[in-house]
Amino acid sequence: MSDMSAMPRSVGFVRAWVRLYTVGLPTGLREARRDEIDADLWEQSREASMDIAPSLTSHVLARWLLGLPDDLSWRAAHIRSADSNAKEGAMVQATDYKTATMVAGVIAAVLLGHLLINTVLGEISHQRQTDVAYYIHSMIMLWIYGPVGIAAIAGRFYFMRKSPCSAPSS
Amino acid sequence: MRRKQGTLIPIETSILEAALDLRRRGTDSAYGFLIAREIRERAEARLLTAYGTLYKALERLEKTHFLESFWEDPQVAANEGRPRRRYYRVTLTGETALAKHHADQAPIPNLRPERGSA
Repeated sequence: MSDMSAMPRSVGFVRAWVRLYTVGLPTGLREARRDEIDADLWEQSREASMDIAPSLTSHVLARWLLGLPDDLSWRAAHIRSADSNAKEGAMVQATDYKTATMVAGVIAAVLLGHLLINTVLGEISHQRQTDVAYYIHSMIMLWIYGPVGIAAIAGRFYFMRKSPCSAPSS
Repeated sequence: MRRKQGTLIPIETSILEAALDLRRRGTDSAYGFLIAREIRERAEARLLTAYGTLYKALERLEKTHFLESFWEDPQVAANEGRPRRRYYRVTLTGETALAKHHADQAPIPNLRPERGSA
């Protein structure tokens, strides 16, 4: 592993600055920027130590200072992008919720209607049927309502959990 | 101010030119510091490109598909005792955009015949 702690203070200062302006950004983006600047600082320090480029401290600080506006605008652009992704995600989630509720509502209405019709018909036919026939009829109805009802509820929760907000932005 | 899609600003031109020069000399992919050093040498400047300016431009060039990047194997970096590098390579789209940029920048030849010529 590279030892960045043995570097001059100016290098430590720039590394601290990079950590500061990447705070709150998505993990992948933050780590990539930090690693990339770390690698650059390391190469620059090595070049300075080989006397290829003298005055490391002033050079590092100049590069930091001249790049400040770009650091800040880069951060601002990514914060804006994350905000718009979150808004878009919330809108998609709301649409999913409405769709799931509507589907569950329609299925519930159909089942309720079916249940009512069967109950009425069952009561009428019950007058003429034996208890065994009525029992078999009820069991068949239960086997239809049960899986369809469970599927409707599971579908609703499936849509609810599918939130694009959890997807990391690159 | 929004700029026209596909157009290049000076730092982007410098990056693409530096990366292509390195490729011509046998370095197919280059990391940020190497590109910055190449730009400095080409411009005969004293300073390397600022961190923020360089890496923001590299990201922008990658988003426009003028560059592609990949991280080196962490084990290679660990063996050499340094942080891992992110390598960049100019794509065909990037080469085309740079060629178009140079063509747009080239002075328009004077097609009017000189006085006295037949």
